[in-house]
Amino acid sequence: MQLVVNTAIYAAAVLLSALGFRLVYVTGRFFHFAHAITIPLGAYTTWLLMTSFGMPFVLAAGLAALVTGLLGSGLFLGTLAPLLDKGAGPQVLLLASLAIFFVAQHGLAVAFGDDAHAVTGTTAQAFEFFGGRATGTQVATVAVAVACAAAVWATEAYTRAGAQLLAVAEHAELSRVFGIDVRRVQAIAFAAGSGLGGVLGALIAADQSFAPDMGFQWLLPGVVAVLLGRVWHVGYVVLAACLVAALRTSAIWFLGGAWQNVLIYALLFAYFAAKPTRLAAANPLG
Amino acid sequence: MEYLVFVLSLWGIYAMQALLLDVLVGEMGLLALCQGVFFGCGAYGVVIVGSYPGSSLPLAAMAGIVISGLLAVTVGAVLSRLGGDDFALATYALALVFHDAVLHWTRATGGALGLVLPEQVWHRGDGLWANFAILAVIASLVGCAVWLSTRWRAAPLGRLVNAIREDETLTRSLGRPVERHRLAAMLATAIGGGVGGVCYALVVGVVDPGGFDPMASILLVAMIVIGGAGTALGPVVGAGLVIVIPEVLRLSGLSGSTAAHLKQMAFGVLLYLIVAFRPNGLFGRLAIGVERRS
Repeated sequence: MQLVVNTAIYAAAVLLSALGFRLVYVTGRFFHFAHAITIPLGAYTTWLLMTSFGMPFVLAAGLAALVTGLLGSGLFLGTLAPLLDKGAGPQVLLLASLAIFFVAQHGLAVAFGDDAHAVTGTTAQAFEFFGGRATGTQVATVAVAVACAAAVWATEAYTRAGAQLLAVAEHAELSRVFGIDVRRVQAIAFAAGSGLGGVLGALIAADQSFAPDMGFQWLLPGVVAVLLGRVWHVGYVVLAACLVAALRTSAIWFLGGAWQNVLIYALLFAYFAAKPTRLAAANPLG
Repeated sequence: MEYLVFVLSLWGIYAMQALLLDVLVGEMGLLALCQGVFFGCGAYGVVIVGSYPGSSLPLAAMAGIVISGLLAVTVGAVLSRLGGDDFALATYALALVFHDAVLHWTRATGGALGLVLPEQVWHRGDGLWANFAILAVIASLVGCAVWLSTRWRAAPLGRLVNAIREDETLTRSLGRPVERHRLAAMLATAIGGGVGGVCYALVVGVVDPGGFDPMASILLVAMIVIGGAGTALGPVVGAGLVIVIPEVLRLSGLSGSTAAHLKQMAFGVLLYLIVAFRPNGLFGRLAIGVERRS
């Protein structure tokens, strides 16, 4: 039973990572590697606010999400949007995003050091589910992930802002012709996506130690979930996150903990082997 | 002097690979982020095969190069059907799989500690001459790569590859086998990577996962982006800059960890500036990424 609980907790973390990445991917239409930095940024901001200002965890995590969201959006507007304006293709944007990631990740390492940090003072209360145990933070991770997935789905399905986001994702030029402020929609999507990364970082910080290089370790399972979930449908992304988590648990059970990431990376490669279509050129809602 | 020869040897190893990788990244417009895999196959191949009793340098080196080539043909069958950022992400996934595999398959690769090149394969001795000899071989290989890339570019095949880059559908409609050309280019870059890996093992003497992580693959692409694609000069200059910047920082007196991070930050800033303001690189003929947004 503990395995099922652990799988559910990891699936929730993957889902948060996937939801954040998905928002920036569908609106930007390129692989935004620098999105990985939002996760350690959220963790370090939470840690800083709790240790330097004595804030409670929930307030610190909320502020961390806000800071991360604003920084993510600001980075997009300041560094990547000008390239989009010049007509840069996805490969150029991917390279630029990688460059930003290097600067940000190593900037964090210079500021806070390479050593792992840990947040103390969060609740140590444990909950029991049919024989499996989870900490309060882990239960919160699952609840936050489910709530965020529902919010993203409802926003896209029922609100004008969500419709605009999908319109920009489907055809940015046409959306501009019909009067949608494409850059504004993209900036909001990057802020929301980065904020979700910040939330994930804060929740990870409350549950385990963290370091500046943790970003990719959490982003890539999310990317796999987005791709396996066919990008556009939140429900499928939720299922894909569960699948990724189940595969990871199987890898740990059968092969040992060291091989858990290899299976996820192999799955990413296998996805392209089985489905050699251009994601960026695909009709999003087709 | 020994240190200078070592740095020049590394420059040569990366320059040779960047020249061949330019066929994929520059001429074909495919962002291949897995060159470190072939580089690693060559290095690990020569050390692992060289540790068998009765093995020799030519045999071990050939094994390393053949392993790289075979892997390129195997994964190339999948990758040659991809394009754009799908190709980039799939190759990056391959680089991640390879790195984790060599890190955790400790029985074969020695894990994080790596493997030492056996004495029976290469006895360096204690003189500077051995290092000079390797440098001379590497310089010859760079010369060969320059000659190959220049000749190839002037040949009809070079123009055909450029046509694939500019309009894949049109090239396909003319009956040209796009996938086969991509596979051939991947094989050429993989053989370059295998040869580079063998040279790396001889120069450094130890192979460990750190030298062939996904960052190594990104660095090789960055050398082409910074120096410029589609010319012989660009990748060589780009490799020189990427190798020299860390060495300059090493001499600045900063502590090891901080200097390493500042090096990566400097590299990131340089890469962004080139991508944003000089898409053709310093001496390039072609811009990276021709794909237009839909």
